[in-house]
Amino acid sequence: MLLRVELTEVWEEARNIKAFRFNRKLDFVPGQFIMVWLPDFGEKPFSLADEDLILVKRVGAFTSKMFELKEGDYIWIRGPYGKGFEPKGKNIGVIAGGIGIPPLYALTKHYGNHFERITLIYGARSKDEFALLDIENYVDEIILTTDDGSLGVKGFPTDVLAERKDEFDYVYTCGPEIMMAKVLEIMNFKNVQVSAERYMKCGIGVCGSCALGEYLVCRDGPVFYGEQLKNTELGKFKRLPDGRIARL
Amino acid sequence: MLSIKVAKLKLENPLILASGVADMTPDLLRRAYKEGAGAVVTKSIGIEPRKGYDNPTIVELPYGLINAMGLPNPGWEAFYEEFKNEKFDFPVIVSIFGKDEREFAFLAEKLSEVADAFELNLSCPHAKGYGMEIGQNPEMVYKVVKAVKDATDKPVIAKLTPNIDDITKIGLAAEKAGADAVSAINTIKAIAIDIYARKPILSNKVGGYSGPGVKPIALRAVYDLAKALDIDIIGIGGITTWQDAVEFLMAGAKALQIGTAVSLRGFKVFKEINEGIERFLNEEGFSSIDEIIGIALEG
Ligand SMILES: Cc1cc2nc3c(=O)[nH]c(=O)nc-3n(C[C@H](O)[C@H](O)[C@H](O)COP(=O)(O)OP(=O)(O)OC[C@H]3O[C@@H](n4cnc5c(N)ncnc54)[C@H](O)[C@@H]3O)c2cc1C
Ligand SMILES: Cc1cc2nc3c(=O)[nH]c(=O)nc-3n(C[C@H](O)[C@H](O)[C@H](O)COP(=O)(O)O)c2cc1C
Ligand code: FES
Repeated sequence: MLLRVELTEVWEEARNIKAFRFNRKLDFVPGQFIMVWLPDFGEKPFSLADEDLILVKRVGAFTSKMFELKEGDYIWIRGPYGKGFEPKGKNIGVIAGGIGIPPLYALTKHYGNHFERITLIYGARSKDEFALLDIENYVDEIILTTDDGSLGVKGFPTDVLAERKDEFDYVYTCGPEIMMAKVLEIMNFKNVQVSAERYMKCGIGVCGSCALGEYLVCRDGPVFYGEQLKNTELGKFKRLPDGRIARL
Repeated sequence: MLSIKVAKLKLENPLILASGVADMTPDLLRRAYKEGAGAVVTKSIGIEPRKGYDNPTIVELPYGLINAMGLPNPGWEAFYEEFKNEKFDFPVIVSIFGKDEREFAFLAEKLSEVADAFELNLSCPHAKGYGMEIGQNPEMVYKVVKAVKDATDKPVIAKLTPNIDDITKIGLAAEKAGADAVSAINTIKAIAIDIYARKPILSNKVGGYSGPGVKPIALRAVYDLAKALDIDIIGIGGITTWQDAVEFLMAGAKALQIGTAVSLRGFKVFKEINEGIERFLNEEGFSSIDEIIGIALEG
């Protein structure tokens, strides 16, 4: 059911990434997402960063429209939808790439007490693209990586994971698909949960648009266990809104 | 006990995944079978790739959904390329749509190799020039079914729209043209308005209503068709529980399609309904499903 909510706080969290807080606290599991409707401009999926918060990266027409919204404006939401994270492991690695951060922020904030030690390994293209919010309060160690070396380690989060994977008994990841495929390879598909992404229309498991292997990402995911993704096309191909196979 | 024959196809059980519902890919079709469907219908396939309408394409209501997906599909060529290399252990019914009898016949001919049967989408209520606009006209229905029958040896199922005064008129036209079965119903034309946005929610404004709320209407359509027609009838519309399924069978449906309930209950809905039907048959002293088909039509 659609719910109209008012934006109570809007701020620029990083270059091309804005945070939107609304006046309704949702009962959610970290990893779940909502559909956001802007009348006349469309309806798109966004992960919940918190019970009343989404982080949006500007990439196209809809997200550019979101960027024009101010405090006091309305958005329409439905959800939360999908299967979220299940807290497993004690000494965990959290591997974020780019705008993959929101569900992982929610994980560390809301499930922090399930873990003994949390290491965040977060990669972005360059130094002004990190949407960290107040995640430092919920994790024990933060390692930032940049593609251009402008901050932290030069390289990818998966380079750091490959070196330090023996320290972690469980890994959580969200980010570009190629990065997540690499995380799965490093972990050999074991002891890892992945928040996947596919083109979503209905968000409720009826249209089939978000097919990934035998799964519907909106319903069976977006969070999957590594083992579930073993023989799927993750990291290989995706589908266009018309169902045709396309390169990543 | 549950196996049936419908439209010349042999099914392990009477439940079929409905067209356009979680059926974009071969893997999803296999999933439906693995979780208990006896057969599947693919997304409706047309001549060209179509991305469908912009979101919102769906509205959730207390008793169902209104959708205006806009017939998204990869087009027959991409569909053929993907499906020709796939093997299935269960019947795959390919749904096709076109703007006239020539397009329907063309698609049936091109896709015969990858189809165990065809379902003709004569009934989509929200795509301009397609579906329902043909399906409301008995002469067009006759022409399309006839052309497809001439173009393929595979069984042909005509899917009927409920958006008409008397559904038996188009059912009879399909039967006369040689259809092996009819399926009914497709969605019912509907709209939803958001009172705060002060406008229709769907980008296409109107869409098609499905789910539990349409069940009594669908059941009536099946009941009327069963009285009027000799060919097989496949019941569709709001079937969510085993009791719904038994009602449709008793109204004369030989097989049933499940759509919206896959969203409401998950793929496990097939197993739930099959188990319920089987338990009912046992408890009520029937030895096969055939014994209850059309039982409510008598007297
Ligand atoms: C489960 C899930 C959670 C997401 N969470 C976030 C988030 O927290 N923050 C964020 O900024 N973005 C998130 N996204 C991505 C976000 O939905 C897209 O960036 C947005 O839809 C782009 O719309 P646009 O019109 O601005 O861009 P477009 O020009 O339409 O597209 C730009 C890119 O976004 C992708 N995209 C567009 N529409 C969809 C859609 N309906 N479903 C999936 N991908 C789409 C396209 O594949 C393309 O790569 C999430 C996506 C999914 C599936
Ligand atoms: C999201 C969605 C997409 C659909 N797409 C198609 C389609 O492409 N072709 C078709 O013949 N019917 C389509 N239908 C109609 C269903 O196959 C079915 O006839 C209808 O939904 C009624 O059954 P239900 O109440 O079990 O969903 C669609 C229905 C839904 C909900
Ligand atoms: S987005 Fe429609 S099934 Fe997942």
